[in-house]
Amino acid sequence: MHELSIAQDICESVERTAIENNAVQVKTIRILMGEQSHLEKRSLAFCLESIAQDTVLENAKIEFIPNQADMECPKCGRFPLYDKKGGEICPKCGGAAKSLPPMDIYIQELVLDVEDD
Amino acid sequence: MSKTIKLEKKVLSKSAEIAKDLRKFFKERGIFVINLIGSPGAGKTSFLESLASRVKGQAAVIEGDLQTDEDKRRIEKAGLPAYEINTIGACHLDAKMIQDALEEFPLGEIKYLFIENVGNLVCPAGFEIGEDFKVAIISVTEGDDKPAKYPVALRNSRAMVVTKIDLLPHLRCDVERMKRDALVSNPDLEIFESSASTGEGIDSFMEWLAQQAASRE
Repeated sequence: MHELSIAQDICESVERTAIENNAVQVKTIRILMGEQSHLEKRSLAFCLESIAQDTVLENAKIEFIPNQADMECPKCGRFPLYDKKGGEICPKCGGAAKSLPPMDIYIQELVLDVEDD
Repeated sequence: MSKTIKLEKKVLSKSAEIAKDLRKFFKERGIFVINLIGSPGAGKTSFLESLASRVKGQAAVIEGDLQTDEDKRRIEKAGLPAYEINTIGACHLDAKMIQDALEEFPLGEIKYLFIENVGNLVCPAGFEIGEDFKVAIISVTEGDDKPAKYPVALRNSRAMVVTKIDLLPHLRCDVERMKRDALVSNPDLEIFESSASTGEGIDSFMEWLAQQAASRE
């Protein structure tokens, strides 16, 4: 639906992190995909590949990991629960929290090729 | 050497970032913003025309359309200042378009800004454009299966207005089913029935809206 704009944001964040870590190449981008984000994986991957040209992201492998629920905790904020089903207890602090439908997407992790010191 | 970095960073589109700034801008000026979404022909403009006399002097309207400035002219005729965003084919408004519109459209001392999105029950539901909340406009003539078929529109809205309710005797449309399905998507949804022809439901919507605006402050 708005994959290009999402791809631009991912590209900027990944580039920034890559530079901070002296990376010469981004090898893998793992994206955590909220099951209710209404984004189309193939379209997002296509947008990312298109704008990654001539950047440190070029040729990076894009992996999608499904996220089934988000947790919203008054203390720890909002974060993904991955494959766990949400309950009423925050897994981080043990306090009362609530699980929410996973509408968002996250950059979960990056695998970078970094220069040897 | 290979290095794995765990980020777990939420991705925000550019539009969502601008929407945040817009929300702040509107709040500072005491303007309550309603983003009206619904299919083409659902009655969004007619609904605004019905409201117009009740908010004269304290509301303005931004109209989003793919083509023509017909809606803008209708709103002005109904007595409210209006600005047309012509998306030239794009299926929804985004926050940048609103930001650009505000440079040319001085809002003045108003209490409400109604933004009528492009007629489309899909894409506009996915974009925040600085609004306090969305209101989904769904007419009885579209068929009573629409709330079930477009759950995201309702999940992301604070209220649903079922329009053209005066036509009900002529249709096979189960309004109770519409309400039931809508509440499955969003149990907190406020539901109104309205008719632009008879004026039914307009007052109760405005009363509710005034309460929502007051409780934000």
